[in-house]
Amino acid sequence: MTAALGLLPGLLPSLLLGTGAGTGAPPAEPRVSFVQVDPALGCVGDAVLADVDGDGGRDLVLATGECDDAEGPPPVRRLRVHLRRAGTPAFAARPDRQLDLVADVVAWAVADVQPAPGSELVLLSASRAVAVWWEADADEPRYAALCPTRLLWQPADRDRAFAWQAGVRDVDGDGLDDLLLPEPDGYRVALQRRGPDGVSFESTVLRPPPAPLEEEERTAARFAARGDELRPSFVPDRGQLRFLVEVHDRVPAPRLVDWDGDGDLDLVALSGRRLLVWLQDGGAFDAGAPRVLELPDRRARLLNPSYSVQLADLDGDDRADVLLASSRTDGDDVTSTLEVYLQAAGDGFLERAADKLRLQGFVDLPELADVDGDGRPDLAVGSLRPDLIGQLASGGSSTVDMQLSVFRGLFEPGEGRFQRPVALAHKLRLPGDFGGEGWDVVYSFFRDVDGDGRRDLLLRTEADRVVVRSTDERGRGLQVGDVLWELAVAEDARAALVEHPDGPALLVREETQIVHVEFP
Amino acid sequence: MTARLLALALALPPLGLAGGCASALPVEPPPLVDMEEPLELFAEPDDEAARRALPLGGFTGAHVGDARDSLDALLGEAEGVEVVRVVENSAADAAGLVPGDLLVEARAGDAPAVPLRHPSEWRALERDAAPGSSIAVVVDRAGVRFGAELDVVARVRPAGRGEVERLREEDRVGVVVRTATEVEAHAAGLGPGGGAVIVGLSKRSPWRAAGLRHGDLLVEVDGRAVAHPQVVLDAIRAGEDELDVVYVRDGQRAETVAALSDRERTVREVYVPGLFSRERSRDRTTTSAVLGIFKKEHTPAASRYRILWIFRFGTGDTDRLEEVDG
Repeated sequence: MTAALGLLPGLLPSLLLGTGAGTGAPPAEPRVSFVQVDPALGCVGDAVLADVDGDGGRDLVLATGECDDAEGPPPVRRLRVHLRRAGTPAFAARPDRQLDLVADVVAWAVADVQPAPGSELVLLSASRAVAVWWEADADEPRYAALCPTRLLWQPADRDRAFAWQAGVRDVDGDGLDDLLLPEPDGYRVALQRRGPDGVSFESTVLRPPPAPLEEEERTAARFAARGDELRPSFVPDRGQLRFLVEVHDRVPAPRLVDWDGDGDLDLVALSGRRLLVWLQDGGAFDAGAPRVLELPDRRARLLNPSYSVQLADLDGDDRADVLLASSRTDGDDVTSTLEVYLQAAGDGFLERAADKLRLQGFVDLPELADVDGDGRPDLAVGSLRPDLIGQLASGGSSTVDMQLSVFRGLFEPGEGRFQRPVALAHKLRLPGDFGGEGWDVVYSFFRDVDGDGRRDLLLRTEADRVVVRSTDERGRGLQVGDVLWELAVAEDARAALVEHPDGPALLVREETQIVHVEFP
Repeated sequence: MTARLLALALALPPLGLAGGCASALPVEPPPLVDMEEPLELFAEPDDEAARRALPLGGFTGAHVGDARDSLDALLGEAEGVEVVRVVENSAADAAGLVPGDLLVEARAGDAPAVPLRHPSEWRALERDAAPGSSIAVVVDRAGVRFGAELDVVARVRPAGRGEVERLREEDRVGVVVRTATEVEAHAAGLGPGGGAVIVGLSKRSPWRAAGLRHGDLLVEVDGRAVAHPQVVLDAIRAGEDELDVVYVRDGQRAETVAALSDRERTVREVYVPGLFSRERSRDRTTTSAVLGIFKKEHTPAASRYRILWIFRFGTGDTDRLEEVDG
């Protein structure tokens, strides 16, 4: 039983609380905080939760900048620090610290890179990383150069600077924040060192080897002179043409995972259908050629909407395993395949899929999480019927149905599979533009909210609300249960889950406010 | 009697602790007060007609801006001026300059190369270059440096009027300066955007003693041309005791040695546990003696006395004015 309060989308998100299904006791109420920004001073940009003042609590650092539909000169790009305080709301509306960004700042992050208590702001320009912090009772910030870089994103956006918090990790496990900075031709891993002379960074640039383009992706541009202009024509190439120049238009996104199970984080990047792995050995990366692992060939990868590669330790041997999703179209029929490749001891890897799951339609948003609480990762995946997508494209429908399926993981070291039949099947009705800008999360089995041991489901299936529903036992399977909690949001809000050792928090970013939700 | 002594003994430590917990010491000194900023100097002079009548000089097509709005500048390592616009088909366009490039160094004809730090230095160089001559520049593009040669042509119309910045220094000298106008800068031999006009001075500023006045145009500080008002502020912050200042007043060039002041230091607080305490800030003094038996608070507008913790009287200004004779 839930009761709706008055909803004012975009202005006052309202809460609904239901009973905790299956437990008899209502779940504890989440702690919700709002931080509003005067629109005259700019609109809300990226936000990061980190301990800035060193008191152990996560403070809110928020970027403001140009509003999307604003006229006139852009407002000052600014970072606002809202320190956490006891009670509710967790953050005061007035920022404790503010920093106006100079023109060449491209991105920012929050990391503990100075001996001063807490974390510092890290500003990234095209050529360097700089730490900014405030001494107690000082109004003026202090600056310190951290390391040079040739950042992938060279020009600064005059409207806003974005957060590159994914680039802050303790890579070498020494308890100090390190920096991972993508560059045009590789990744700079800057490891923090502290000694009597202060803080320094040891940089290693890991460069992917030149990648041969896949046959189906090769296209040659021919130029022909017609009158006084050159006209290009594009022809597919089957390997007969010899290229003078090859241009890559993207740098593979880096991920830090423990690839070989030795306790060190290794750097993994997906380039084409190759996985590039740079192994770390006790705080040192080999800057030479990475280990290259060819993934199975899946035709037309760039045009394959289901294609994705997930890395996680599925079989509990501490080594990363691979979940590869792809789809095949045969006339009107679309079949998607999810293949599991387990990493065996030694070099035996990717020889043969340990498990192959076939689903009708396109698959999207695969998530590996321990849904049922048995300590082993399960697979949640959404599938879409292609005929419904066709209806959507032709204007016959404004919504699309997604089938959310959960398969229990039954893996042991070196072997295993996902259990059939499906443990949970639930239909989600989504607006046609789901997955676009602002839809950072559509569904996620993000955490156990009602305390029954199973992860509950956070959903944003409607533009103007975020819902948490319980996951309940149903016979030998699972089902999506009652609404545990609900938050009304602006239709153009971005909702994202923010990782933290205590469990993910929810950050909803609207044009002039941030909503921070902490689940007990 | 014993019980009363015990109570007093228990009460003393907390009193002592309370007095000992002073607020955190400030890291930065407070800003200087009593700044005089005459209203007539607030707006820049209306000399647009005179500006348009100035000699046009040379033109390369490179519009430059300040590169100080950068992380390098915050770390004190900024160099060069940033190309913000390149005129199509101009010499700069032909040389391959693009917005975002930094011009680090320039050499006009056979003259020695000069490092560039402020746009006014580039604009002076461009203005003074004869049509048909060339300017060699060192360009920094994303950390990679290369040379380029720009052929100078005659400028056909005046450049746009530059923006005026006001900068305030209230730590050692107590001065507010604004960018000189192009007419003022030209008269002093500086490029457009160079020079700094004093538009505010603290009443107790040491620069008054050095003979400097509102309206003076500063053209050189410690041997460095004032290519931007920031040069003056940087010199004040970096200087030790005094600065050599060259300035222009009523068209006449003059020099002076201007002192840089150190802050007066004062005893802010004295605390003897249980016996005496005195705490003074800019507008408030609090004195307390013998466990607070006598306490006095004083501000410029009011005073308050407290005796034996319970008797209290205060005095201060009222909301009425005194009658003025005549």
